[in-house]
Amino acid sequence: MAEVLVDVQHVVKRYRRGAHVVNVLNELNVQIPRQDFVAFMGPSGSGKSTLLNLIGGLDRPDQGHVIINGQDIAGFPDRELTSWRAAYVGFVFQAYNLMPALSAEQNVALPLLLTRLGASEIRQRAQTALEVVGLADRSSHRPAELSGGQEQRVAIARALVSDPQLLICDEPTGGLDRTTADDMLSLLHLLNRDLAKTIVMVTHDPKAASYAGRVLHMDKGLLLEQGRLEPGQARNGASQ
Amino acid sequence: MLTTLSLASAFLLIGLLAPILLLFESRGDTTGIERLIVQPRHSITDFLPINHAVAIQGLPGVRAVSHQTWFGGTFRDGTHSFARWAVPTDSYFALHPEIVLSSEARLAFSTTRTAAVVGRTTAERFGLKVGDRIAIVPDIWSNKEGDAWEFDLVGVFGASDNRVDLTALYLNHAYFDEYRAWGTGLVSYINVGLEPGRSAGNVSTGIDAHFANSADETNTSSERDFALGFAQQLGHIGLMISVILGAVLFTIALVTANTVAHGMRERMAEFAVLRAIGFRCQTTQLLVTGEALALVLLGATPGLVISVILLELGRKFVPQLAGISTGLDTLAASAVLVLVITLLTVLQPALRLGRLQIVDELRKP
Repeated sequence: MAEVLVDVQHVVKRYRRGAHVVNVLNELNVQIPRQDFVAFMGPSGSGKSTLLNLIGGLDRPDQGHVIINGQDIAGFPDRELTSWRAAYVGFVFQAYNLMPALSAEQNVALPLLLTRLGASEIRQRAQTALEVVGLADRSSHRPAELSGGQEQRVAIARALVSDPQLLICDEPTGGLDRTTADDMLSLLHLLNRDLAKTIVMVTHDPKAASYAGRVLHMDKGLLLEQGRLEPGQARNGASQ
Repeated sequence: MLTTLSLASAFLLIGLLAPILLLFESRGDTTGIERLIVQPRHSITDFLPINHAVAIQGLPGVRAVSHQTWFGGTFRDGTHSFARWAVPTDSYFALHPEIVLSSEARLAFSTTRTAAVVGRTTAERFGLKVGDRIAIVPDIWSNKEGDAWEFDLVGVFGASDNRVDLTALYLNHAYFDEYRAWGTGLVSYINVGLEPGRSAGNVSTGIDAHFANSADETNTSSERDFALGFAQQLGHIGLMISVILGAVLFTIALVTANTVAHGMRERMAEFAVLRAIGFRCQTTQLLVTGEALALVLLGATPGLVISVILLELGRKFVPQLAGISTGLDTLAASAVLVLVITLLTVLQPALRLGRLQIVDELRKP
């Protein structure tokens, strides 16, 4: 087995809803090797998005460990966790979440503002990221001037621009039509295969999950079963 | 846009009222005072004997002395109001070098018994020019023949600084004193020039002490305090202005805070994304503070610029505004107010950003 990048150990996560405490994740264990493309599927409330947030360092478990690249990020103080996210994780959200007042290039460049790079270097890297997602000619466009698919591509470019090891994708095709969604998933597949990005995706869509190398099903805060697809099988399956 | 306009209006008001408030705040401060005004102690409707000027000239710290007497009267149809003073032809202008009068006009004023000189603003307003004869119907000072007073305009004066009332008209005191029906030898005020480096407080105390327990006791103050004393007769001007400015600031802080808070509520997901991709909480708080500061400056700057222009224009036509202008103290006070409004405005949004839960905000539809 390849080197483990994400190692979730005995994670418990509870939410308080009024007077009730709901266990969202119950002693969950999961390992994700480096350069894997994993899709988590399951009904609403199964805990897959909560798990994604824990792996992405957006939330903390009540118990257990979230070890990424050998570091238990669950114990990081806020400031350190924020810096860790900037360095190691790229996020792609269902709602794209681009800044409406900024151009595509400026949106992509946002994570680089946290680095010590100069303005011309930042611009060049943002342009390169836009080229990777096929939107170099839309760099000066604002989100309102882009289609949904183009907006999501800009969001992927923003997630890629700081060259993170891990891409966290929360329903990345949820707001897209089938054709655009397929384009998007093909792009993620390429990023995994050619740029060796480890991708963790949450989706309701079996077709979207078929692009992943591995599909993990969850329910009631537990992992149910695992299915591994051979490299290339996923993409073939998706294109059928 | 509406908030920016509200801020511009508020800072226009601040720019207009703050110089007046600061002037009242400086009342009693004798730093840098070069001239004093001596007036009757008990009432401004009383007069002082002109002999007081001679006595004051001999007191310690006094460099020069002059005097002025309120002439009043009705010019033309009586609807045009401007100050009219009878002054000694030489000593008054020597003591007030900021009144700019050509040497020819000054000579004519000294040598012509019926001479008068007028400020540029009044000359332009009424089309007055040198050589014109000006008739003024008396209300206080009847002349010995019971007729209207007539004066020959021999000069138009300008100003080298903003203390000069360019609407005023000055008459030859010698002619006025000789020809008036009553009150010969009485003057309204005595002007005192201080020796360099002398304390205005000590000299004014010395003058008032000199005339204490006499029939004509005096009240001596700096020119600035003298002018403010007139305004204070209307009420506690400084307090009134403070209350107005306080209400304006409170209102504008609420309006701006509401705008910023509303804008932020709509953009919480954006801030959550910024936090997710690695921006620290303090950085997002600084961003909001910067936005609020830009918003306040966007309104404050044009408001203040307009107030400066209005004060400059107003001084030309409203003699009471002489000496009031937008100084560094007003600009510094405005800068402090900009910062205070900004901080009040971002207090609630900054606290909210401090409590922001990234996951919760991103989950919202």
